[in-house]
Amino acid sequence: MRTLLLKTLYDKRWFALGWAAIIGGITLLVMTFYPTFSETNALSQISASVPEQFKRLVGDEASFRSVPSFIGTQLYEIRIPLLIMIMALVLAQSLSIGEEEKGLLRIMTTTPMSRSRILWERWCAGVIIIGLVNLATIIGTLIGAVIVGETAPLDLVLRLAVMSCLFGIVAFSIPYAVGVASGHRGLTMSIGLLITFGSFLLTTFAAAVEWLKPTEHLSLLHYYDTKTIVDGSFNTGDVMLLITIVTVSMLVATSFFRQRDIN
Amino acid sequence: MSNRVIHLSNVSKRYGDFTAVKDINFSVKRGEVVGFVGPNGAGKTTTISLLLGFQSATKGTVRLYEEPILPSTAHRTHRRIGYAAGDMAFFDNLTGEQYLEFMAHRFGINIEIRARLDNRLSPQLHTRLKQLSRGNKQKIGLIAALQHDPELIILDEPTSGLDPLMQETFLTLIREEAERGATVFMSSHILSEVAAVCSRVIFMKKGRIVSDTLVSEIEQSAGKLIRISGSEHEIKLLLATIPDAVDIESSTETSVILQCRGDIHLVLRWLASKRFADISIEDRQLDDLFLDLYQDEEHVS
Repeated sequence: MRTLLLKTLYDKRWFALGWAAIIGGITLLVMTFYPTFSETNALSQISASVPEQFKRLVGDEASFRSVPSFIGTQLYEIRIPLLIMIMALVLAQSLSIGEEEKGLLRIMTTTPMSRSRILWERWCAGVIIIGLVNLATIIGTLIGAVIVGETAPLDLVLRLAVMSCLFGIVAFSIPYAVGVASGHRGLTMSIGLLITFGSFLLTTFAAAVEWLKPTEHLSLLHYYDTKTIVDGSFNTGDVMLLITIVTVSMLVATSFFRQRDIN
Repeated sequence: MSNRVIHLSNVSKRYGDFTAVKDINFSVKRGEVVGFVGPNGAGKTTTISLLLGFQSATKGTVRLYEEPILPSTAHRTHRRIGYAAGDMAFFDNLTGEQYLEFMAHRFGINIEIRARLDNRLSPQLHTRLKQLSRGNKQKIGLIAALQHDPELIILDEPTSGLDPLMQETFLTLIREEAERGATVFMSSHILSEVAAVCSRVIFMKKGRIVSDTLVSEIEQSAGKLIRISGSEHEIKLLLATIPDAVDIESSTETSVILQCRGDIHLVLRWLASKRFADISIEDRQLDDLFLDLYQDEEHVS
């Protein structure tokens, strides 16, 4: 237990392993459904008969016909990011407000560690846990592909997982920053839930509801562009925006946390 | 180099409309052992929160070793401080040994002192903190506070919730640290406990300092309790001629308890002229004095 980072990782080891097992397991399970969809002849008929809006929600016929499309749309487009956002919110709440309410933040601030260091070491622990969970999605995807006798393109899975990891860091950093900056549980949970479920609802419904389309860019999921990744690259604008959100959130949090009273 | 370890100047702390600490001033010199006494809600823990930089003062300045203490800079003095509190939280997933190791990496460790503390307190080092009793957790907390040989020891009601035997062990350890030259600042709501360790006591009430005095002076001013029993007639005669130096604490038809705050010799001469069946004279307990102080609203400075 040389550092607060290691201590936090040690404290959260079961949380991290549990979520890695759950999200990795779900990834593997969904991957094993691939042959069922890709080999059915009824898919063309179903696809032809459903409205365009519904296709945007669940994916079109092409997204079920090849492994890369299936991985991009059925795993990494909504399911994995949503699960990671939920995990990130729970983790952020626990590492910020949870520790303060238990009186643990006071113990940390009696030590010769600066408040900035306390904030950043715990943030780093959160980022490592998000990285670990994303590693589990890579393993789940690859093993799932092997089980169904397919090969998942490693470069594609890595690109998707990197983007998913960055997205998870954003989903973690915003509520974590609100928690450490304000020390207020209600505010932290409200903002976290708004971002997580607000983004999910906005993105899924904006695909089908015409009048919601202009507001879709307010969803965090709007900046998680799997189509570009499946096509072989990253959307640089989205990546830069996500990095900026993390940087600004954490700088604001550092500034507030250095000065505020600890409960 | 200044001899002042703690210095608070015109310090106030407000939470919305509620003022927890009002315009307090005091200093603690190097090597002093100071008790910080007051009932619940007096502002003791708030003052300690300001000293450790958990919170910032609404008004005034807090200094430790002449460094201004603000939440953003308080950590710079923390290596010199050992802090323990009765209601302290712990990293419950760690064992005692892991917790102490973590703290040792933050503060440093004096191996000799650590061995002495282990020997005196016999802590359960290999059990998870969440499985330990409160007393055993507090042992770990005290070792963590003292193992780096701090120059200043800040204790916030360190014995609350402990059994009398454990309280005595804790107080003995704190006395030993004081004898080794550490400056001690200890809050409590039990005056007798503070008097057993400290040489000076600061009393707080409703966020204000109501008294700052030496323990020896308190003991002198505490006075004596005189218990007298006799017939109804004897007690009536006695009560009719009570001198100024004596107050009546309680009385029945056949007994009376008197408080003597003035010259005991004068009181003894007065008693020699009276008739009664039995008498006993004893020192007043410091905790009785504590009650006097807090019941008397007029003492607020």
